[in-house]
Parts: sequence; C-alpha cells; structure tokens
Amino acid sequence: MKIYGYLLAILAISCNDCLCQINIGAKFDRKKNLPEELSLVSAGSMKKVYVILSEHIKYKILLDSSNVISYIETNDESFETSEGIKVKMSLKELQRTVGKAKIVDEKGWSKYVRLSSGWCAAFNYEDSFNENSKVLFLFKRNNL
Amino acid sequence: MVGVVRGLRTVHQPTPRPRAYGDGSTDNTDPRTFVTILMFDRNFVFQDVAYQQLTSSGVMNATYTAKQPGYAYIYVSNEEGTLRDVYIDDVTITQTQSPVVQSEDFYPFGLSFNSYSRENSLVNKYQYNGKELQNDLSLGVYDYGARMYDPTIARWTTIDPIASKYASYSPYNYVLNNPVKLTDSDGRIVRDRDGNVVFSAVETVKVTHPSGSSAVMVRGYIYANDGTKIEAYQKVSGGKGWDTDCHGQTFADGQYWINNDQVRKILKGDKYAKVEQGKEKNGDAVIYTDTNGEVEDSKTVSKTNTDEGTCVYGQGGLQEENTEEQMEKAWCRPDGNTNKEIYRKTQSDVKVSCEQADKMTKQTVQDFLKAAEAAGVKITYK
Repeated sequence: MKIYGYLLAILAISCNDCLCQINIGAKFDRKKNLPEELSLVSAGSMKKVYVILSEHIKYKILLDSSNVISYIETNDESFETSEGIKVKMSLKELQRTVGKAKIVDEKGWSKYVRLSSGWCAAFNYEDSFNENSKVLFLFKRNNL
Repeated sequence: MVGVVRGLRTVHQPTPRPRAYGDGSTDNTDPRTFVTILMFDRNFVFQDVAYQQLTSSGVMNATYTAKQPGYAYIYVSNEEGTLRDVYIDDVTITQTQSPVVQSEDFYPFGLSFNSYSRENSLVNKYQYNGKELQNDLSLGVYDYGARMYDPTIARWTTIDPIASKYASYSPYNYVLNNPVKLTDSDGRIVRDRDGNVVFSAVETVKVTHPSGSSAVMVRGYIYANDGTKIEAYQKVSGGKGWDTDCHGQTFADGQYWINNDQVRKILKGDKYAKVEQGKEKNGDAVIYTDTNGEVEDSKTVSKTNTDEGTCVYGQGGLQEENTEEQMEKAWCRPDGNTNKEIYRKTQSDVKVSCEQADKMTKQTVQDFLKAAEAAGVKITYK
C-alpha cells in the first residue's frame, strides 16, 4: 500500500499534470519548475507561457501578475470543444458543425472563428484561406 | 648656428637674404649684421622668415610666432660687402611654448593625422572617442573594453561578443561601417549620435507561434529619445513573418519586433502628442486599443481627405500582409468595437536668435507661429 502511494506521487510529479480547472479568469497554482516558453499570444505580443497537462491534454497558459489565467492555447488533437470542434478539422466541417461563422482576420497572427463556448478555432495566417483550411490551434483570451 | 625649436635636424636650405636694412632703409650706416629666423614646416618646406638688424644699441632681437609645427633655422650673420669686423656674443635663443599641449585630427574611422604633441609633455593617450590608444610595439590600437580597435583598417582585432545581433555584418565591422552617425562605447553596443543604444542584445530566445512555427530571436532593448528602455526583438532565423510586427513597422522602421505593452512607453519617451481625430496628417501614428485601453495594433497614416476618408498603412511581418486600408476599418474586433488614438511626434524646440527675431515683421511672426502650430512645434517665450 505504501509502495502504491509512492508510485502515485512519482507519477503526479513526472507528468506535470494539473487537475485544476483550466479556464480564463481562474487562479492557477503555479508549481516551481513548470515548463515555460515564449509564445506569440496575439499579433503584437510575445509572452512567456507555461506548458501544462490537464486531463492528458497539453495546454499553454498565460498568467497575469496575480497568477490568473488570461490566455489558453492548445494544438493537442485530443482536445475537443463543447461544440465538437477539434484541431485538424476543416473550415467546411467547422461550419457544418457550428453554422456559418464570422471569420476574424488578426493580421500577422491568425484567422479565427469565435465559438459560443468562448474558444476560438484558429487557422494559420500564412496559408491561402479556403473551406479546406484546417484548424491549427484553439485558443481563449480574456478580452474576447 | 642652428637653432631647432622642435626636433634635431641640421637644415640645409638656401637662405633668403634681406635686401634692405633691418628698418627698411637703404642709407642705414649700421653694420649689415643680422639675426635671422627661417621657419620650415615638418617636411622642411620653407614657410616664413623674420630678421632683425644690429642697431646702435648693440642689440639684435628677432622674434617669431610659429603658425604651425615645424622647424626654425636661426643664425646670425655679418653681410657687409667690405671687410668690417663685427663681434657677436651672448647669443640666446628663447622658446616660449604654445599653450596647446597636444592636438590630433582624425579621419572618420579614427586614424589620426596632423598629430602635434608639445615636447617634454605627458602624452594624452585618450584620443579617438576618448578611448585609450595602445601604442606598444607601434600597434596603434584603441582599447574599447570588450575589444581592441585598429583605426588603420577600420576593423576590430577580434570578433564581436554579440556578433549574432549584427548577423548581416562582418563580426569585425566598426559601428556598422557608419562612424559618422553611430558610435560604439565598449566594443559591443552600437549607439546613435545622441548616445541612444541602437540595439542592446540581452539573450537569444526561441519564440513559437501557436500553430507550431517558430523563430530564434534576440531579445534586447532599443531606447526612446528620453532614454526609456524599450524591449525589442530581432530575428536571427525563422520565416519572414518574424521580421517585424505592426509596432516595429510603425515605430522602429520595420527593424524590430515590439510588443503591445511597449507602445505607451515609446509614445511617452519619444514625445508623441495626441492629435484630435479628423486632424490627422500623413505620418501620424494610429494605435488601436481594446476596451481597457490596452494597445493591440498600430498603423501609420498614409492618406487623408480621400473619398475613403483617412487611410493607414502597415502591419509588419510578411510584405503581403502590409496593406493600406481605411483607418476606421483597419483593426476591427468581431463585435465591431474599435478604439483608436492618433499621435504625432512633436518637433524639437525652435530657437530664434534676437538678431533673427528683430528682422521678423509682424506678418512673418504670424506665419511662423501658424506653421509651427501646424507642425506640432511647441513655442516657448523667454
């Protein structure tokens, strides 16, 4: 029994798993040595984001000075929004699922569709954009 | 006898003889005995002469103020046509040194010429840009701290410690080969003529786009006119989209990537003044903000008073993404909420001298004030 306890503890440390709720506005209990990287979180903003695993899905989150989550992105293919939108889904499939949606062009960063769940399905800004364009990542921002 | 003011040469030059007496007369009965000073430049080219004839007081006293470094040939002579004994003794040469101890002229890249250093004086080694000249073994290099600089070849003797920052230049280049506009304080950082750092590298970082593409960039600082540090990034490798962003395009000539949170610092540091909407002019900066006033985008006014209203240009990154569009539509959120502010860089203070002011008529003063106001120039009266 004691051995199982140790194993669970080691597993929890090694996978950096976070069981807290990953949502905009939620306070995040940041552990030491959390992996971080510099990410372009909007057209004119490079920020240090933390890489976390939550329920086996990899997210990158941006924290404000109070450790409150202000931005979330993921390109994990396992992630699915409440509308059923996933990475690698085409614009055609997305529109079939959520209906005709307005496409926002954040030049130099991404073209994206805002979903009712608060997530945005983003396509690459460099590609020629058509109905076969694929969702490359999903993100949420606190000011959208 | 030979008198050498500076140097140790014996001079062999044809010596011009005075044709008249010392006082200019031709009926002088004093002996034709002279003290003469011949002046030569540093290349022994004759420059000038001064002489004095022996007078009845029995004293000859010639003086000459040297106009440039060189050599003086001083002699006394008896030039009587017939044999006439003249005894000359107690010859004294006095040299009063120039108050100038040392002078140097420099070519733009720092090689000196016309060097002058008063004899028996301590040589000031801090010369070009105030850096110490290391002349041991006749190397003639300047010690800048991080590196030694050789002004003869206009190159550093070792590579730049932050060579990756100036990737398109030789790591041995001096101030990006532009010593007229730029300077270097320590062998690493290039500055403009106001002393502002052109770009000060801090570290190399990897940046990723959420789609997965990435770039290697140098994070560093540029400085606003008031010295405020502005964080900026410069691409080392990665796609063209990483070259610059909207703010880099608007505020840094497309040379750097500047984050949203640095824009207000630039506006303050570079003394931008807010302009009322509708009074914008070409070249004004437009910043687009979210509902909290946070900067999200910036553009430059490119056209005014067109059928489409005011147009703006810019975005950064890929050239095909740089577009001209209506100011009202340039940055539009999904909910149509677009806030914008227009800014104009104010000019330096204008100083008018009393002499100039006296010549100004009432009309020219009014025209001047009107033009100044239109240009955003602040006028102060003293």
